[in-house]
Amino acid sequence: MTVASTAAKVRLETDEHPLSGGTVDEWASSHPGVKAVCKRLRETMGALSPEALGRLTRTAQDLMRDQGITFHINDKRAGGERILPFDLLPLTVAAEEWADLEQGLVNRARAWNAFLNDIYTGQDILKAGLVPYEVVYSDPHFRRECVGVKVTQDVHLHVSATDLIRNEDGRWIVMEDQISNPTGAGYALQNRRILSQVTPQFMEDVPLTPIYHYPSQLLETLQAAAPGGSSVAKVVLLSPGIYHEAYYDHAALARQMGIPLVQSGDLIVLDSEVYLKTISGLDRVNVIYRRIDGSYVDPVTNRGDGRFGIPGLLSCVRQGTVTVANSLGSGLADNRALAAYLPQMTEFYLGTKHMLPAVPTLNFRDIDMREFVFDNWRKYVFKTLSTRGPASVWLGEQLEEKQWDELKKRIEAKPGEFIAQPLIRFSTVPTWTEEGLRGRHVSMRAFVLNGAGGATATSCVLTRMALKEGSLIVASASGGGSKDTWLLRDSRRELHSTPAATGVRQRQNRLRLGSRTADALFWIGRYAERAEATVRILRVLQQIRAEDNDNPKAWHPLWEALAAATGHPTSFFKKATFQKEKTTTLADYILLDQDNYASVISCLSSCRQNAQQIREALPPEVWTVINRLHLQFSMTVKERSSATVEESLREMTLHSDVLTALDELSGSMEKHMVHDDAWNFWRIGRFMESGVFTLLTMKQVFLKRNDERQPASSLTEDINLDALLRMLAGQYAYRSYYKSRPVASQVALLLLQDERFPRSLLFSLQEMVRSLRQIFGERATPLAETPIRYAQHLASDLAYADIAPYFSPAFSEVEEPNPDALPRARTKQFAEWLDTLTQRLLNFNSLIADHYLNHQAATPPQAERD
Amino acid sequence: MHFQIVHTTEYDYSAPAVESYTELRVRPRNTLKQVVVSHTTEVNPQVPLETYTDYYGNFVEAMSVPFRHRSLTVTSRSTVETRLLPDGFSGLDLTVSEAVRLCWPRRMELYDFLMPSEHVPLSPTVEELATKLLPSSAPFVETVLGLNQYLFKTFKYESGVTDISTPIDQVIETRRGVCQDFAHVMIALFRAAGLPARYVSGYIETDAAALRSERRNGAAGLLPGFDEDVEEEAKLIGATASHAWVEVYCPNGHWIGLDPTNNILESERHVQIGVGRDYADVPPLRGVYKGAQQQLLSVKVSVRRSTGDPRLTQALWASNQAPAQIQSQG
Repeated sequence: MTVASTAAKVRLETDEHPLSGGTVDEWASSHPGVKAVCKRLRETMGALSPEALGRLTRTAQDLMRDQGITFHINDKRAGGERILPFDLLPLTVAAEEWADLEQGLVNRARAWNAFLNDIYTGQDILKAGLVPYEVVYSDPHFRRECVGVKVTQDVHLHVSATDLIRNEDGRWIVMEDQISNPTGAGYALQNRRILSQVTPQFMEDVPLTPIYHYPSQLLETLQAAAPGGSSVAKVVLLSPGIYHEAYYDHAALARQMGIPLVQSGDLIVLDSEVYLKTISGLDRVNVIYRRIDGSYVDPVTNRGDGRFGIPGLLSCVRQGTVTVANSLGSGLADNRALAAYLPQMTEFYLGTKHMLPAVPTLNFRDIDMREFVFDNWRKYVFKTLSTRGPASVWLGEQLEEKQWDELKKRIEAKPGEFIAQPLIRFSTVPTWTEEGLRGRHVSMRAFVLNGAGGATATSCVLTRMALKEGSLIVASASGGGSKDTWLLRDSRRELHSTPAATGVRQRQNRLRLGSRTADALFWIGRYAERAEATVRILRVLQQIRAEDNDNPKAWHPLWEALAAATGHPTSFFKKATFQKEKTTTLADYILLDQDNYASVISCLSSCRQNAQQIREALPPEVWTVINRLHLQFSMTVKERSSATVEESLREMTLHSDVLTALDELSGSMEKHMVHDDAWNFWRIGRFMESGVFTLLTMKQVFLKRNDERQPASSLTEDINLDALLRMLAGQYAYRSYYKSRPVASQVALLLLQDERFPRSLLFSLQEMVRSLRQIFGERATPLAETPIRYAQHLASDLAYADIAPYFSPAFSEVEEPNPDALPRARTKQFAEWLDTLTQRLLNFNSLIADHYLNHQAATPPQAERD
Repeated sequence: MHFQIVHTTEYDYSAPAVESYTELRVRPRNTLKQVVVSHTTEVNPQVPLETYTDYYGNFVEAMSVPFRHRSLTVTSRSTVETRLLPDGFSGLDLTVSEAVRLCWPRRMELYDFLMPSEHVPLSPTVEELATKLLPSSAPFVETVLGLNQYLFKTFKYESGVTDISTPIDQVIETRRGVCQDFAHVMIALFRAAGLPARYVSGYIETDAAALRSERRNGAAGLLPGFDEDVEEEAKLIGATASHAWVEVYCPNGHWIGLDPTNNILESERHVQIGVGRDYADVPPLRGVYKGAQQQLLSVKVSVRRSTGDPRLTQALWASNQAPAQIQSQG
């Protein structure tokens, strides 16, 4: 077979790649297996034009973007989230080479695990003087509170990873280990999937080691780590949330393992046990697959940031009721200076000298060493000891004299906080670029799973590549990309197939909705409804004012209604500021004032904040609407004092825009969300807000009302009732029922007791009950049943209440009026009844929170428990 | 001496708090100098207390209040018997640099107390002051006592000007602060000179308290060795809240207690709760909760001298390390 190499075709000869001296190219391998695969790949690609290859690469990247395979970078220029650049041409590793690496990888994981075990118990290796105690004791990740705390089965590291590179001599050597919280398995799995979707022809007949079973292997490892080794252990993946750079990695692994993806607030510690909050109660958790930094996990003992931690988690670990993987103290092993002592550890703990060769780690505590490295600084890579990330690595050859001088000063000031490694120009793999195929340096990250039964090097390997010519920076956070990794199968070796993961696939039981998600949706519903209702009231007030500005006192009840509904003192809007100044002052305050926590902009911000926290649970369409609504409105806020905005406030075009956008939001929720538990909580939030809003608004108007039986109710009262109907969008409903001017008793009937009017209190209550029944069924648990019963009781009280006596004296009283029946007294009684209803509705709101969202109901004070 | 100590801490939240988790370090420890006769910790709301011993050997109680609560009260009652021991270092004839060198064989176990820590960074200011106050050729004992006096004389005890986040350099510059600041500055200076030093959290019987006890008990006379200070200078400071002082490691294996706030050595009237690298290792109370932004904190400490049962006292010291009764009320 000949390789097509006409100019129009993709050129693949490795010797044509401009390579820096000494670097090995992976595709020029002499391993027969790799040679054969690369030859096939060349042939397949030879049939493609460079444009076609470019197109395929873009297809792959588009696919990743669509699936949200992102890596978040804290860099404004990069626009926050970006996809991990992906290249179609894989790194291929020969079966024999991989087999050699496997045992070494396993030994590394075992040695690190034994080291951690020792450090957190007897510290024998320090006493033996094999590892300097200064390095351990000075490390901020050496967690003193974990000393003496026994971890389940003596396993500290359940998942670790090792970064490997091929040096100039063609050997795979270790660059460094990623111990406490290695990232990337999710990306590796995704790379393989994308590749098989976009270019299945590349993989035909290649003896590939499969990686699809990695999630099952991981889950089994985690389940086996549960205290007591329970095989039905409840495992959760603890993530810092959507802002974390590797959030996709967390989400993908959780989804593929079928375990809940949780944040700290989803978990609660009760009586030294960890529970997951779901809407149907608290679920005991046995294993936490921790993907947040160990120092954030327990905010009390670690003094970390309270937002991320689970208070009391360490007590649970101490009592052995939960396993945290990897252990809370394992961050110590990420200290780069310790890597220099791994040979000693391996021999001390495992009794073997066999280990993978590694890039030497040079310690600056040794003055001779320091001098030597300083004299040859261009040939070294400098790294900080106990931080990771882009700002922790410097390549000597890329530094200018001045930069080096600065770094040198830092090192001299704190030599114990830096290490150096000789610069190695590791191997390259052909990569599609704008200029055609070019070699790019690659490094591979191999994942090792470790349990009581021993460690396994998995076939899940992430290849990271540098994006620029000659660059040795492969880290994703510094702009590196990735490739698929092909571990070739040895025909002579049995396929490493794990026994069909028992139970993993079958146990796809539906996960109960997490309380945090439910809570966020509930509040999205409430805030959106509040924004809408507020705009509606404002619009009516402005309209009335424009029509008749002579007698502002006449609509005092309306001002008060607005104040009550937006949480202000009832006299708030009667103040001179709002009455005398420009007509737009009020609109500006209600719509655009960010300091007014009840303003529409504040509601929209809160709405977006809640949505952002649960983005994974929202359809992208819904998120887009919420995000855009907030964005547009924020722009308006920025230009608050401009003439355009003032005009839009006066002409009320802004009001209409907001109402339209909010309609769009509820429309997209109806249309795009699965009508499941989450959706139902959004509805409950909406109707809760609507009910509260109706009660608060109408109370003020009815409080000032005259008796109907008195001749000729004043004109203002008519206006006020009419306004009230318009505020609550009930004008149309009223007219279609009564076809007459508004009468107080009939307005009250409509707003409170009408079963068909969507803004009536009864309607809201019945809808909430319906949603709760849909979620929990007719036979809910006693705990879940309580709020439902309460609401049903309230609804039936309301439905059967006779409101007539509040408006006209009962027949028997006409002859003999008693003082209670005087119009004023009746008005007062009606207002009190409204207050009672409001209070009961708010009680129902608390019951929802206590029973489904924050679970206060499950944790009664001690005194009440017995 | 026999002390009854009541230490009450109360948090009032402006709105109900939930899911609170708190660690308490309020139980005095047993040492050669003091024996805890009894200790109870009452908490309100009533929840079970979990207990453990931390890295530095301090006794910790942890409480979790998951349910809604408006306030959190912790009352710790301890009965402690203290005695005066020889100070452990008078008469040592060596220089500061010799003392530093003699610590080397035990450097591994002392390492935590030699290195900078969260509240005790070794800044240039600290290093400079240490060179001045702890010259390596000076006699060890006199220099240590001199430093105690120096801090007492040049630094002004003033509450409210610093809090726990005030950097040590600022305390050195303004020369004002409370016992925590005095202790942190002293620790920093010792460590900068290469001498291991640790932070002690505890209680002290103030003179006012002592006088009250005397009147009540009809006992006469203050402690020998104390009178002069009381006569000429101020009251012993500290008892409005818990107290803090310093221990410096002496090459003969003893930790020497120094109270720079009062310019005295740790006495019979000091009761230790716990030790650590600095305040962050032994706060009496540390916790988190969800809920209200605002909280009102009030702390009351009373240290009352009482006449303990002499037989009991004898029995205690005879066995020297009789385990104290630990009662944790749930």
